[in-house]
Amino acid sequence: MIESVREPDKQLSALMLDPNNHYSVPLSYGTVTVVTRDGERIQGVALNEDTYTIQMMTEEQSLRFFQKKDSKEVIHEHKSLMPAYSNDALSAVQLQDLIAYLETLRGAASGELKEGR
Amino acid sequence: MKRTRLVVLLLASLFLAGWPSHAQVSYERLMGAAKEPKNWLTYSGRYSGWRYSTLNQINTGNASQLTMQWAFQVSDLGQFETTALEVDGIIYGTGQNDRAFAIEARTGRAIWRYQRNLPEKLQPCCGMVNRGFAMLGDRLFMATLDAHVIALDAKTGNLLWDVTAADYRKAYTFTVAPLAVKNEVIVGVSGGEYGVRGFIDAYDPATGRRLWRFDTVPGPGEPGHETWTGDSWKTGGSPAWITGTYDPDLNLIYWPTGNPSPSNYAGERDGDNLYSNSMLALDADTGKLKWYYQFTPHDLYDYDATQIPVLIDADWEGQPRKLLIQANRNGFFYVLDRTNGKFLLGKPFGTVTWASAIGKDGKPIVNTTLKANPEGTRVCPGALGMTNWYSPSYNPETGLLYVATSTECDIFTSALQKYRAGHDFLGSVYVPDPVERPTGALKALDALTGAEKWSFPYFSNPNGGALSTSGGVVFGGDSDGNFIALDAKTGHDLWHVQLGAAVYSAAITFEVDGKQYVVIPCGSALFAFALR
Repeated sequence: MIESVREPDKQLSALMLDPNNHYSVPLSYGTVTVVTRDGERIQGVALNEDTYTIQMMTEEQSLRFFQKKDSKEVIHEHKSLMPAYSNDALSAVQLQDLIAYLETLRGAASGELKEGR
Repeated sequence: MKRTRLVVLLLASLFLAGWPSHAQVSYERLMGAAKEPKNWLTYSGRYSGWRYSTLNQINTGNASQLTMQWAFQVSDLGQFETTALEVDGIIYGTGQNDRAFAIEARTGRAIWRYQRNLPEKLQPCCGMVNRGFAMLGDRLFMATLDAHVIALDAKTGNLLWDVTAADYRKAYTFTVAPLAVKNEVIVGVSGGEYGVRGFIDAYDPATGRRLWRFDTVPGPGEPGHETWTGDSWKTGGSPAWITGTYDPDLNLIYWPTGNPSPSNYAGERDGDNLYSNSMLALDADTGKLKWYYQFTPHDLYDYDATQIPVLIDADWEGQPRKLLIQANRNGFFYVLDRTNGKFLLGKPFGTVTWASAIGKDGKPIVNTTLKANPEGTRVCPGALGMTNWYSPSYNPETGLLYVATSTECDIFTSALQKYRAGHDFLGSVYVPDPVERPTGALKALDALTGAEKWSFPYFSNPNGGALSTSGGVVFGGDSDGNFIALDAKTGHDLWHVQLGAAVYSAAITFEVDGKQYVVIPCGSALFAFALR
């Protein structure tokens, strides 16, 4: 567990191979299901949440906002919606290359202005 | 001559009518703070640490109509942890980076501002915070991040005196709101993450002269020194970074202490490590120790006991007793006899794994299989505790203690770390348990049994405390920006407002011109609420 914090590339590869490994899934990427009063179940990832509200991105990539008091239930699951990449789909070398590529990505943080703008 | 006198009287009357009167806070007023609920004179509202008010204009029937009256921008970022004082129409508060201010309580308009010129290299463990003033006479007292104690003129904010308490370059800092008692200003030091040697000081409010010091780690020849091995006492931590309470009848100050240093490696500090994680009862005149009770001996998990000691008088097993109650960071709720420190009760108020119970002798029955090691051990509560420094509230009408709580458990590792002056001295890392997302709650505990009466869930683990009132309302704040009013008897949700930043303090309440206000710091502003 501590190793995964110290060596993020290991954490990243573990996440891709087994997104539902409890010690790899960051809690913020867990699955959230909102059950509305009429029984509709909306599943996705919570973008933000507090004691009273939840703002989520659904599996269909749409933004949905809920007041918890208007919902029947909010279910948090410590599992990822991302599919697992098995050894059949991705060889060890391909995985290593992919991780190396991902680690080169250093984009501007969300909302950050680029220099000169 | 007559004309001159008339002009003077006219000017004086205009001044008094058009401006909040300048306040004098005597020791007598502080002792009788409960009798003047229109003001908030000291950190916890009164010496007993209740953070409770008999005001009831805002009550369970109308709290849903609370409306913001004003906001005062401190103009600084970081955790806003102050408890403001309100005295005769003026609010006095401190802010991040040792700012301070006085504002008109009705309007939120500034009267003066103060900004301390701090050195560049400061190392408070947990933010550039300050928790507030103490007031005595016409002076305000502040303990600063660079380990000074200062006095300001309440009318102007001008600096009256400034004394050095300790060396900030060795990571001694102050974040505490001082306590004014009799003719003393009492402060406790921070720095338990840096291997300081903790202390509690009293200063003369007139001159800043230090009147006494109690070292929270006993030196050679002093009782308790034998609870440290080698030179470990020299860097033994045991800071005293939250405001204590006071019993005028017993003339005792109750001041809790924090973790031993290093907080998570105990290999070089065998023994109980007195007076870390303890409740100290000090003679108010001399600072001499009357008794102590240690909640977490030989701590491995950073369980500072720096939670407000709440003083109540009640029957205990058929006899009237002077009690001290505390919901401790280590997950146990305690009842002590405050005349002598005798342990009466210890009961968990959430999931505790570091100890199975508190024995009849008052000592924890420690789970020795959970010792932190280099691989990591999961322990509950986590390092930030089941609760923490943020204030609880005791309401004598419900007999309940309202406590903000966390479910966080942490993975602790432990390793030898050599002390270097001014550098962190933890002996470990700890991370939240990655499997369970920590949540929080505002819980109502029976003040004599610790039994949970109700629990209002917070989405995240909290940093904000509680305030309860005679209107049957308890106010809390969560870490996701909600300031919340609940029914004190049932925990039923009455009202909330989203303030846009984590709440890092507890509310106060007061009355001006017949209107009850509730004021909460949040983000970079102080917000005032009242009925429409």
